[in-house]
Amino acid sequence: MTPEFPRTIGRYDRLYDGLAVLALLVMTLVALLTWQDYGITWDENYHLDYGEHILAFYGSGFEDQTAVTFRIDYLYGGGFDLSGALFRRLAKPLDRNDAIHLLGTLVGVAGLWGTWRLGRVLGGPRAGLLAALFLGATSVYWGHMANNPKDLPFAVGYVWGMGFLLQAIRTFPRVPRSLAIKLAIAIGLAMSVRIGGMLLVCYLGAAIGVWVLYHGWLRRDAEATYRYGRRLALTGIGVVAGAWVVMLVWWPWALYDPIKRPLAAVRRMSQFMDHHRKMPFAGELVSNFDVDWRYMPHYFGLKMPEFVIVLFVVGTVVGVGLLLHRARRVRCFTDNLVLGTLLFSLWFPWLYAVHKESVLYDGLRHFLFEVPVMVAATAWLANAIIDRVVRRFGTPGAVGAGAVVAVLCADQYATMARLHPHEYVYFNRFIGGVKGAVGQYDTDYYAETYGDAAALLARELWKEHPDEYLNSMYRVAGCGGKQRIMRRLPPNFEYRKGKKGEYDFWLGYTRQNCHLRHSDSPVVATLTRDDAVLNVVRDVRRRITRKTKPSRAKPSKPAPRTPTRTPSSPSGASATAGAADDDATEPKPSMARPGNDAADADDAAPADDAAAVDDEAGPADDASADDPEPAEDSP
Amino acid sequence: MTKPDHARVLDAAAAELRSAYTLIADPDCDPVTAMPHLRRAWQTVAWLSREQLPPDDAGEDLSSWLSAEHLPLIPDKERQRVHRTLVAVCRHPRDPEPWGETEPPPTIPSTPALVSHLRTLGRLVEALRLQQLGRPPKAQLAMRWGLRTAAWVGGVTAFILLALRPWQAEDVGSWRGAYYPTEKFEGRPDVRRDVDVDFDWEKDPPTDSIPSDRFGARWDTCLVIDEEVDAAFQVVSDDGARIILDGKIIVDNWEKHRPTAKGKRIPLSAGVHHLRIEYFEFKYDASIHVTASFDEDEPPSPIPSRILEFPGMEFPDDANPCEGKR
Repeated sequence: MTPEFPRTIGRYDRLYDGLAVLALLVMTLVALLTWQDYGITWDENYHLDYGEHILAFYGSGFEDQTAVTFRIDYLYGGGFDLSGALFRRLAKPLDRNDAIHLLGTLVGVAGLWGTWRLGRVLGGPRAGLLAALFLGATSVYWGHMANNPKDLPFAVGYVWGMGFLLQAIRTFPRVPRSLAIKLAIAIGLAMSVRIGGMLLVCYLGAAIGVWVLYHGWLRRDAEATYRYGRRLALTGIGVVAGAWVVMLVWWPWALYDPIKRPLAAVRRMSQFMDHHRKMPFAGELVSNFDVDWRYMPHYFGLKMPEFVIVLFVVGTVVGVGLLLHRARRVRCFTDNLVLGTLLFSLWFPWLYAVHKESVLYDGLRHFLFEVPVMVAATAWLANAIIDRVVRRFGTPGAVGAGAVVAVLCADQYATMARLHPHEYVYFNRFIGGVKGAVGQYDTDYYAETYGDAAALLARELWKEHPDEYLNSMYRVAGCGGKQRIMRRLPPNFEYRKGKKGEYDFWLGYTRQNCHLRHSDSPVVATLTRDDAVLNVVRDVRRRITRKTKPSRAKPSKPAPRTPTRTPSSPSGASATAGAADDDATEPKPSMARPGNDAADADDAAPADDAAAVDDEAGPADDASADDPEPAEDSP
Repeated sequence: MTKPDHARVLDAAAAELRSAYTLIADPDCDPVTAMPHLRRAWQTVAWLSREQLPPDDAGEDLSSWLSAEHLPLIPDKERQRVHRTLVAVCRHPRDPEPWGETEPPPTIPSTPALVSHLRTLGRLVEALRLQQLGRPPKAQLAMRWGLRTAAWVGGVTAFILLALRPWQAEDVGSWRGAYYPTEKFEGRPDVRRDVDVDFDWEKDPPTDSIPSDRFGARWDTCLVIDEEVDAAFQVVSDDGARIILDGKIIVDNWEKHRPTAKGKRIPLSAGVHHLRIEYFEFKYDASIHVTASFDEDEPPSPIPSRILEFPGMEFPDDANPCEGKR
């Protein structure tokens, strides 16, 4: 018990804390046992290179300036990337992708613990336990842990920052020094990954302003207001200065103009126009420049567990109602300020993105930082509900509430186990799961499934003709680029780009209908999860002769093909050697012809695919690139 | 008189503590206003600890406030400081009225000192609460000591591990690799341990003293098979390579070529087998990857080190280093 938080220990608090620690330890163990299952994603290699450049910048005594101009990565701090470069040196003999996946997993685990802490700050030990359980059941967070080098580390810094911030608000006007230091470090680390961490600075400033104005108004005394303002302003300035220093350490580009450049990065990231693409959204093909306010609500509504969404909506209504109800109660002011800051932090980023007409794509990846906070907020509401249930019904109520929580979480854990290691493609039942979302929304936007699909291909070839396999070199190609495709392929596979005929197998994920290319070639293997196609491998050495050429569907109205089913293995992989693509479990295909894929040349297929595609769905104008990757994203 | 229950007293202590902190933390309040709350909080602590109220003044030392059981909860070096603050806290209520003509009021400790004092008091209240929940002060102290020790031991262990990094030691690996400066295995080889035969040197040499073209390499290991199995071996190399099992060539790809796969399935009896890989590089890119499968459902992959045994660094080229193993 500290004088700032003289909270009475509840009868079961130690039990809740013990259970939370136990749950988190189990989650940590699971994460550490499974991190090698995850594939490489689009952005990883550039961030790996950026980390090396930052290290070279410091190692060369600021002589090596590559980090200052490196692609658009210089607009990001290297909080995770530089840490990754250092970690790789410690983690040898792990290769660089394995090492960064391990670090990412450890950081993700830190986020699980941070969410527990935030839940605990909001509603005590039971809310903390619920927050930990809920986040552990959130596929979209778990699926990004190993292989997202920016959104996930940012989310982790953000949730720790929010935890410290809300705790600090409770101690106004005298924030303990240790808490202020922790807050500064958390904000600094968040900003060192994405400058969007400046949101935390805004929340801190706003909370200080509201607190000072309110207490000044209460006292009706200018001098008292001045004293409060001075004390909290000094605290705030100290925290922001500390955070700024922490941020700058990792960010060479910003070092050359520590004030202007980070602010310039905020402006640039808010309206990121460097990367144009067409993407599926609500069953239509839209440009990422044209997304409207519905984009984030759709993705949050469909990619978060159903109960989290329900609790979040109810929680927002309850929270606003609570704020209005007790707005005039002086004694509730601090609680109101904490709740208000929480609600503001949950809604403001989206409203700001709508206001700035920010370019958005890749599902809710750019708003992944909201996920742990959102989950902690729902845990707070769930805790309040359970509290009332227990008060009303006693032990039976507690047992019932525990059972409901267990069932809800177990349902999500089961889904995650089925999707593993592609948890991030999760969609909830509101749209019919992943299967219902394929073609309607971005699923495997990060090309994470290539590793698994490639391994599936190798296994299939081995199973069919082991002697031929032992004495053959196979040539593969696909939209995923060399590193993602080759990651798990044995050495008798070579990556090829270029003209059709120079490769034997084509691996296509569902983004931009890559899986529909070469549809005149039989499907060798199909990677599925929950009956949804994620990646299709075709044997382009062989072609299926068609009697009639299917007509192209109109771009505006997807013409869903209803393929016959492919038996899928329990692991979600199926092999359909010799079957034409119509025999594969195709997704609802979505937009038949992405209009301007040429603009998205950075993650394109070999150039001649246009010539190769003679079916109704393939993009005809992809450019060629070796290991092509999309330009980086907006905050 | 009914005896108050401990929980109620503890709640009172927490409330007094919070009130005292609120006043002390408020830059617009004189810290002296917090003294009555602080004193009341100490009184509750004393009542919980000694089951009797303390004297009106602060007494000689903290033993007037805390029982022998609870005194160790405050570290030795802090006790005097805590008691000095307590003296100031206790004198305040008996201070003469400001309009009187007596000695000046006592000096109130600084705000940071009072906050620190409040933290100590908070820890005491927490300890008393835990005692109510069945954790005696001794157990709490032992727990505190255990946690600190664990943190130190963990920290020191982590530091030593990171400093030494045993996982990066070079003398690990189940393969003995001998790198020759010629394709015909002539000359003095560079010998080292390798974890796996999985190299893609491109145009670089395999070691500092070996040329990047026209060199040879030979790897030896002992393959430990527990029960008879159908195995498959594969080598993908640029240029020539061959796999030799127990002195017999089972995969032969001993020609100049770009990356090419060659493999064979053979039954393997239980026991220890001498596995040798020979390789030569002629020109341009150099690479070799050796894989094997011991499960007919799984394609060949790097041979797991758990079934390999290091044959030793020194043995004649024509000897079987695995003889006598296991």
